[in-house]
Amino acid sequence: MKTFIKQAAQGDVLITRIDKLPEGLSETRSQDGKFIIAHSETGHHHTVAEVPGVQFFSGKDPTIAYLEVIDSVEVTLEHERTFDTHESLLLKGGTYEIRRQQEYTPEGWRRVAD
Amino acid sequence: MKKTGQKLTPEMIAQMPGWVDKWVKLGLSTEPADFNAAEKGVRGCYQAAGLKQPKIILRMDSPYGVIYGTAIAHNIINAEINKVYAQVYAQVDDQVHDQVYAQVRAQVYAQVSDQVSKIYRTYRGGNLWAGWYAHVSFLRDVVGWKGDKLNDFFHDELIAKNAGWTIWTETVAAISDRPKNIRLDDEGRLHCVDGPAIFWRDGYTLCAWHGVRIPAEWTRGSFPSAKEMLFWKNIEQRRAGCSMLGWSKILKEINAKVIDKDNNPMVGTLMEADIPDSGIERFLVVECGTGRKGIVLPVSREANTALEANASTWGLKPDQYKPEVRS
Repeated sequence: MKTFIKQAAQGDVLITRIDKLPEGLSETRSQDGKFIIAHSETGHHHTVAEVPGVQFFSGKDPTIAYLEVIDSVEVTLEHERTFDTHESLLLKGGTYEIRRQQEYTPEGWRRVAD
Repeated sequence: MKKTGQKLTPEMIAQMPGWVDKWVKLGLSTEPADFNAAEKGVRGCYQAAGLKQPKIILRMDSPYGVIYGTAIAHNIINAEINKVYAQVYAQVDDQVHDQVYAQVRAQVYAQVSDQVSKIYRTYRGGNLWAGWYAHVSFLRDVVGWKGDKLNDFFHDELIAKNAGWTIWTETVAAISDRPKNIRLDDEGRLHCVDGPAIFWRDGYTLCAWHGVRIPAEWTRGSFPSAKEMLFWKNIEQRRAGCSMLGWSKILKEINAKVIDKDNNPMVGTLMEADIPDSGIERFLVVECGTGRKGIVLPVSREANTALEANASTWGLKPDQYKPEVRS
């Protein structure tokens, strides 16, 4: 498991510690006991376990989400793939911005699909 | 399951490798299914769940056959119900005013619809879910876990030991045979460069390159153009396709040149090419945190360095993109 202080990448997910949540977010529910931090079309989601003290939020930009972890809690960002798995990242208490990677096409930017 | 605090003894742990081998062999077995045994398991599962037995249990050659067979059998079995519906419909239509007819029709339709929609929407992976059965059976047979539900698990396990994928509806259950052949790479991932990586006895196949599902035509040497490959929507397939086609061939075909190469391979190399019917395009060739090479990301033509291009894929400026770790 890897640890970081400010910013880390796990595949097509970039997670950055920020000072506070922006305004106007909506809380996102968990699915089957997990927050799907980044959805994958092939089921290889990036997930965080739903535990007390962890909240997941979304805003207007579908490529950016937010995670809040209270100080007494630690969770891990897991990549749900049985092969070529991206190593887990330890998320300590804090507020995080989560960005999905995009790519440029002649029609404009689109989210990287996997 | 209640937590007992029980710890695994060295004797129990010593049995794990053998247990793993046994279930991996079952999971990757290409022996024809024992449908008689699997059918006993299916009937046991219906009984354990308190459901009426299905009117028919199909024995199909592949998961594809299971899906289609179930749908067809389900419709055939319900045809009698539909006939009754049609007769009622016709009589009502002839004899009753439209308003009454509409109400009666709605009621009849609702009853029929209720009949045909009672599909349990349930499936089990059979031998392809070997990991689950290995886990539970180890706890039962080696650790000594006892519980009422284990009697129910027995039926499910019976299917997994003897057949492949299964699907369940109120009227129809269907069992798939095991695959006829499975091809893997050295790391145990589905893989074959010149044909299906897994195929069943009815001809249903799946193609894969080091675990990544790919179009079948790629394994027959029929690839999209370099441009199409570079913009292929699924990035995993794009990586697989570019590797299969060969980077040197792609770069030559599009006459690509290096704009900037970062010292960090995970920041990548920015390249530019004059792509037919598209014009000048820039793209980033990077290595990801798992060490896989040749991930290609189309980027804006305004990017002038690999770092700038990489940061832009996250919607960031270069000075905002400073990951300490990548996995």
